[in-house]
Amino acid sequence: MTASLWLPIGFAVTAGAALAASFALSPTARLVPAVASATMLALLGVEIAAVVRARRRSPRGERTPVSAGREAIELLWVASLPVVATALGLVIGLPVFLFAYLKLRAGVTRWIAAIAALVCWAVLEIVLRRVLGVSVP
Amino acid sequence: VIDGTIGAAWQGLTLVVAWPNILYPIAGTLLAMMVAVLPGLSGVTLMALAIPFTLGWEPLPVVLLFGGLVGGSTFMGSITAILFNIPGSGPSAATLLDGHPMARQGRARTAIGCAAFASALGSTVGILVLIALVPLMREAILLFGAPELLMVTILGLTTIAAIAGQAAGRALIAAGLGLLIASVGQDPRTGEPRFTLGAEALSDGVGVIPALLGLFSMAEMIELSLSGRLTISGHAAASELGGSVREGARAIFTHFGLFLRSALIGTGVGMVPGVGGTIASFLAYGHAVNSARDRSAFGHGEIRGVLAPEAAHDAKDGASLVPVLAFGIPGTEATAALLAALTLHGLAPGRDLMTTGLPLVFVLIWSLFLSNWITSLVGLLFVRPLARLTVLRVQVLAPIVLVLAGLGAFLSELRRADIVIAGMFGVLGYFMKKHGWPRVPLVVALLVGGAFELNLHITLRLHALGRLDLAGRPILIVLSLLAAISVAWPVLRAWRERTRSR
Repeated sequence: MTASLWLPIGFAVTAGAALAASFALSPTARLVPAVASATMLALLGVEIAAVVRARRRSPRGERTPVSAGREAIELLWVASLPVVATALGLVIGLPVFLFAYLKLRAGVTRWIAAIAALVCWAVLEIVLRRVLGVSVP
Repeated sequence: VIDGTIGAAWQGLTLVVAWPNILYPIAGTLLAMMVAVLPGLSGVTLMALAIPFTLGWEPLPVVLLFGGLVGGSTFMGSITAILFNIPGSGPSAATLLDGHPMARQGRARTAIGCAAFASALGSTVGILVLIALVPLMREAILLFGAPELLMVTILGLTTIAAIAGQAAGRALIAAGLGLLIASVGQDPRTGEPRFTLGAEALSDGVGVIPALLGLFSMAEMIELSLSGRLTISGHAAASELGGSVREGARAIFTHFGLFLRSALIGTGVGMVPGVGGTIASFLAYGHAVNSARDRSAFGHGEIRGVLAPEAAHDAKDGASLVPVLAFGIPGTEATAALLAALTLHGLAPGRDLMTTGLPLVFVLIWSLFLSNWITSLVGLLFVRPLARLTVLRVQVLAPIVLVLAGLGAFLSELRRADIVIAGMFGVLGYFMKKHGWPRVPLVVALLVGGAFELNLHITLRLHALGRLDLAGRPILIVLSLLAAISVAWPVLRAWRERTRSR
């Protein structure tokens, strides 16, 4: 099984955006999407952490030697990725939120959301690549 | 209840065998056979394609056709498994362990004959169990209110995740994504737009048909096109056949005890959502190995290694309809597509279908029964030309299926946006398959998302009004406990494996 980070990151950005955007909805309409996206984010944290830890192992299954302090910081980063994704998801959620309240033009909103999604994805990849030294995918 | 069931069963049978009704399951079976014999493709690809093209039909022919499509695709994967060592579908992987060595020994006909009769007789066992359970399902469904139905939906999703083993977390994430996609569109109670981004195409939500077409038909074609294989099987020519069909059929009666036990394993496994034919086949294969006095022949062309997985795999078909017809919880890709077809024709599973719509339920059951037998008999008669289909060029098949899938997506609502949506699901489905993410939980959640939300709000309302008496709802308590166990099970299993490895 190929351990790719593209899908989990994509799902995290989507779930983060949905969670952020659901706050623009009424409590009745928000219940299912908010619970579903929050659950997804929690599970994605575990999934991303598992993939990153697996990549830290050499092909023979040995762990790459890193200091305990550095490893702890890295795992903390990985565990907080869904939170980062949620924060970034706000960027996508914001146009949807604005659209709901300010009635922006639909076409403009869609473009802003699409560009925001790409930005979120790129930021997450930079975080993984630069901070953790993990290449994606 | 039993009188009503027998009457409905008879009415269903007369409807299936009446002219021209009988043509539908026959046509469905033959079409499904031709697609399912192609490695990597399954009847689900065809079922997803068939849904939009049958939207204008009456419910009866749709049920007849889909019974044929479900039954027609089951056995054919075994032919490629035996002849080419390529499992046409997941469950056929167990058949090839002994089936292909038999073909290499010049006993291909014996292996195919055994597989054909084991699968036809195995499906008969599964269907008989399903028929026996219909009166029970009718009684049980009347005891289910909104809270119980909500818990059944949750249980269905968590069971699929629990069965996914190491991919349990991924299965739950995929189910969450399915629920999110199902919530796109207007909120069913307040009417406010949800995640539509102001796009008119999304105001009615994401269609099930484009999603199914993308995830299964388009994704398979993308994978096939990128696989680099010239032909579907990767072989340039069909192989020669030797052996005797009669010898294969005789093996079932020589090992009748094993056949019956394997069929019952398949039936039991089929009733659990999400388990699917692959687990049923391997469980039966494992049972055949463990129950044999001399195990040395297994893996080297032992006929019992063909008989057991085939009987279990086909017995699962009938039993897998129990959760679909009673609660609308599909457990496999095929039953998910079947559920989509039924609901789009106003045949919502549950109370109405199991009472007033019972004759149609039996039409589906008899159609499936007929289809399973046709598949085995026609498969035996035309094994050589069917095997020749596996050397069909990818360049010919992929564009045709992709165009049909795009056309099907458009025809579902006559919206161009649905072609784009199907394409997006196609790319998502391809990557999910490539990286080992299960697609079934996503589709199941997408299908049951609406009912899940409705039952959740009714349950919350009942609770707010103080009318949710847990003590008076033992079924709800049992279902909640089962859901909790199915969530805890993968975690406990992982923890046990970790402590054992230390």
